Amino acid sequence: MRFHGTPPSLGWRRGRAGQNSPATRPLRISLYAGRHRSYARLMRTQFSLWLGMIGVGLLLMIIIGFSGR
Amino acid sequence: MRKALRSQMLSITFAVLFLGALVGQSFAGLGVYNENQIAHGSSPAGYWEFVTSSNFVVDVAENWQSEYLQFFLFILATIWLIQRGSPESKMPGDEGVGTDESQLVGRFAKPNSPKWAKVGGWRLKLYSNSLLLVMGTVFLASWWLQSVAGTVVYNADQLDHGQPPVEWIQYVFSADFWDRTLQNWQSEFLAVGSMVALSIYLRQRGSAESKPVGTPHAETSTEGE
Repeated sequence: MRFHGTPPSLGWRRGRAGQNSPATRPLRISLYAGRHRSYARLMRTQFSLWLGMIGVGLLLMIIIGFSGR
Repeated sequence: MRKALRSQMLSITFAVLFLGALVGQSFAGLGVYNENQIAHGSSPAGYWEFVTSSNFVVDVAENWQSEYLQFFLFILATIWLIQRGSPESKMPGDEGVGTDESQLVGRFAKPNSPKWAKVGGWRLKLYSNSLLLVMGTVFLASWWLQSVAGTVVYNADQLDHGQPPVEWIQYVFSADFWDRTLQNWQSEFLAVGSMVALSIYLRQRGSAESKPVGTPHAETSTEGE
């Protein structure tokens, strides 16, 4: 995942030094890292939920199928 | 957080649709089951009794197996087979499993590549086929479940009509099992085949499953925005 430019809300912090100013970089990186972590967490959650849903579905069907009901 | 959630909406939407349709199927299935029970002079079943019965399981499992077979075969076939002009296909000449360089594995892996893509050996082999393995396992498991639950349902029907029950292996070779199986397979193969062929000439602006609207018909493997 690549970060494209500065988020609009940070525009006011660019100042005269421009967007590569050392003063703004740490904040941009930490915002990016935060968003990246949040996406990564949600993607992992999605993956686990879907795999879990399929697994639980199959397990329930095995239990019912073999109960002979 | 809302932006992050919006980035997951495709799978969330389908999870909601799946659960909604499954609940709908359970109520409609109960209605059909009870109509049949009353017609045969038996007492109608409650909701819980129905959803934990083989009658419900066989209907769910036969649809699951065909869907997972569809994707299993599509993933497998698109390794080796191509369709010129279809966005679902690789470029002509790209048939096969690709080089380590094109697949970004081993020494060609990126720093942020999945761990098992970098390590090599059995873990790389397993991870390289993990999607196909999971789809294939779910297909086989649900097809097997269809046969187990189908045997129970078939035998209940046999007993209702004064006929002898059958063993599982006899059911697997029965017309009922293959009728349930093939009626699902034919529709899956039709849908996949028509998606591949129709997407050569037809477009849906904005969809990842379509070529961009202005793409020439003969252009292969260019997906939308």
